[in-house]
Amino acid sequence: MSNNTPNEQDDDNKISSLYKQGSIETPAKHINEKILHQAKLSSNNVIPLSIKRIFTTITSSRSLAIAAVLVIGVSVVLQIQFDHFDEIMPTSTETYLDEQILLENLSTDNTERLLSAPAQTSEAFNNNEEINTLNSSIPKKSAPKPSMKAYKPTAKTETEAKAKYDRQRHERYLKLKQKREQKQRLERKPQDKEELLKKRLEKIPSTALGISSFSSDLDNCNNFNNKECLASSICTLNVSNNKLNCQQAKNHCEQDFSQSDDSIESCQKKGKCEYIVSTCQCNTNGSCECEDNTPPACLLIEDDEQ
Amino acid sequence: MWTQTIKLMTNTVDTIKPSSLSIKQANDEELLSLYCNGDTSAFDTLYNRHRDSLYRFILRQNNNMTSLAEEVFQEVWMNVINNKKQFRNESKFSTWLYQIARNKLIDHSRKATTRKDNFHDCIDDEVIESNNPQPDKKSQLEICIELLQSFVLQLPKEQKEAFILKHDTEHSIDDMALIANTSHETFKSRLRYAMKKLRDWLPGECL
Repeated sequence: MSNNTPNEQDDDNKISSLYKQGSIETPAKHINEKILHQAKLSSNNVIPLSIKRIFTTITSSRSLAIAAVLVIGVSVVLQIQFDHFDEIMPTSTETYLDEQILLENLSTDNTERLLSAPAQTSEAFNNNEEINTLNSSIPKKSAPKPSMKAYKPTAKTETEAKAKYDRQRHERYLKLKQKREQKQRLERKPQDKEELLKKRLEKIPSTALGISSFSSDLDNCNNFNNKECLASSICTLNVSNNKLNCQQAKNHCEQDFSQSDDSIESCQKKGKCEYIVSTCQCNTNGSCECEDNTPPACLLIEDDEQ
Repeated sequence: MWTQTIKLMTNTVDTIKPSSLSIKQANDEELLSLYCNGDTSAFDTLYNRHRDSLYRFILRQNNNMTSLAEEVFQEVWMNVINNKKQFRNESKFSTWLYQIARNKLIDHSRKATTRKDNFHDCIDDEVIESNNPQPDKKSQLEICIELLQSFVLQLPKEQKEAFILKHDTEHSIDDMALIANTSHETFKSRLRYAMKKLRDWLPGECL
């Protein structure tokens, strides 16, 4: 045994070298395989990093996300519009059919107003720019036959049922249209309101609204200012407690009669109606002052005998 | 647009998919991270990198008892596999690996102590026999190697550990001290004593 070597560092190096030459042991092959197999089994439960990153890249990509939202949004809106208007918008052929059916089947006095409605509505459709725009955005059906998918015959005859079905379609269309107009009216400025009202009254004759439309316009009269009310054919500006109030047209004289635009003749033509002459001065904000605090009106003549 | 998307995805896959070259160049911590994300080839590389040195570390600490060393060796790697996500980058992977191995060795030595009074003095008869030089058949170098190995086994536990860590692994003194759960200076001292003893024990022909 050498206790003291001249150079301990050399001895240490030799010891290290000797030790490393003898360090040749390696684990058995079956142990390697076992451990690597176990490692693979353990990693099978883990989602690979590459897949994770691809998913993250896709989901975090702003342009892709925006594109996806736009595509989905636009397609949903188009689908809703298409479905909705396909159901409520009569085509020109359908309107013609409406007219024919009504001419054939409806003959009572009360329905005379309705009799003229489809024809006038058809005209109104052609004049209304908004509807024309919408019509152009909706793909036209190739088949000229009217859609009868919602038609269920409940009336005695087929023609009556068709007429009923078409009336319902027409009423639903009018309600929707009025709602949209009301919304637009609330959004517009007062001066725009005035122009819009005039335009609407010119383009859509009041007769085209039909009887059922009056119930839906009950609330509209309260929303009108004095000027709008005078121009309206479905509302009448009355005096109560020395104040001007816009109310729903009560009788056939007031209905379809514009206090500011219609003439004496149009009032008298209605029968049993009398025209009250008066003049009103209206401000730009829509409030009016009338002669003797009474606006012009088409009043029903009370029958003394009855 | 879809073509661009597919292109983007392909490029992404290309950039993130670690090639065999980049795996070989990756450090231990990166390999473990890749393995944690499901890349088994990263584990293969990691295993191959530390397999032999760790095995020898365990084998020497177990006084060259192969069966026990294999058992501990497997337990260590199973521990790594099962607790891979518990590794934090506060230390090196190799330090963590050898700390696990050391803890396993301590567990086994405690069990062995219940069977034998002194673990340090216990040297397997087989090992001693296998380490005994057979002058007629072996060269002087082989004899010296076997003598050195048998002397290493006879070193005190801490000095043996220090010597094996120094010669079977490639850790720095600080990392080795961390594995041995001691200070830098204490570890160096242990190593110095171990070397002195081996110098004393080895015959002059071997030096």
